[in-house]
Amino acid sequence: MSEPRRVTDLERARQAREVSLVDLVDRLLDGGVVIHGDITLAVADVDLLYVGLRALVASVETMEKQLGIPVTAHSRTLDATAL
Amino acid sequence: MIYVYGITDATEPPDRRGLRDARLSVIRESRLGAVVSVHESLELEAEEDELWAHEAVVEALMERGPVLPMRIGSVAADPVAVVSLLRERSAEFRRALERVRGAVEVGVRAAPRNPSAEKAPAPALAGAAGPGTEYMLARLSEKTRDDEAAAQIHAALRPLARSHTSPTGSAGSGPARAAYLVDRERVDEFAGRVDELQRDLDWSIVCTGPWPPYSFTEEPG
Repeated sequence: MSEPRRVTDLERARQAREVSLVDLVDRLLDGGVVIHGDITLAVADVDLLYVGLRALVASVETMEKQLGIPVTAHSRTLDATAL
Repeated sequence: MIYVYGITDATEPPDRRGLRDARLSVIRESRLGAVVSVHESLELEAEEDELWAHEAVVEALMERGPVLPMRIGSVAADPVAVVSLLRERSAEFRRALERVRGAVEVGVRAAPRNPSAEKAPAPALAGAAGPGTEYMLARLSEKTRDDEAAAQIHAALRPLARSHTSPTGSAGSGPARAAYLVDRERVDEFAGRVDELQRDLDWSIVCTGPWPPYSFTEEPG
């Protein structure tokens, strides 16, 4: 990339949202209390789901790597949630 | 079928609806409460709105006190199974609730702002070596520098957190990522430190949250 790309506010908001979605997916599928026995996962075909969501994760990561996103914006959640 | 959102020490469900607009309730056992909704049948497709629906319930719980979020899609056949879960793992769950009380999770991912712009100068001996070696040496020194910056970022953020996950990845293999468990009242300070680091290092650091403590439900290793 020869010169830094300008990123519009709208684009930045979309990127921030995609990044939050990626972080959400990571947490929902890899984190949290894991249970076994009588309690099971009801998500339809978790493996397939992973493939689709991982593609999204990879695209955001590529975007970050290539653009070095100038996101000082924190995610939607960090800005929106009252602490 | 019973869908479980999270484990708390609350006695009342949050004032909102769950997945498929279902009513929320609390199953109590061993001074713990599992926040659940009851469904005739439930097959999640993991559409984006379902993910956020689970998340919204857990976030509402987080506003009221400590919560251990369940992994998405956790269902039990009947209330008895939920009661057994709470009873069998009550000590573990109570310890975990104390670990996360008053704290939130913040996700951090960091990548060099412009990785291709500034190539590391070729090491002196590179001239004597073949072009393949030269390339590999340049890449190696670039990677070392990026790893050092990632370590520097982690070292600057770690003291502001109660706990953290092991950072994964580096500039060579996608953004460096870690999750931090941060006291609520230090979240602004944490975000401020991220902004400073972003200015000082030529890195893009994206910080998301505050999340429920998905990455901190297990005993630290």
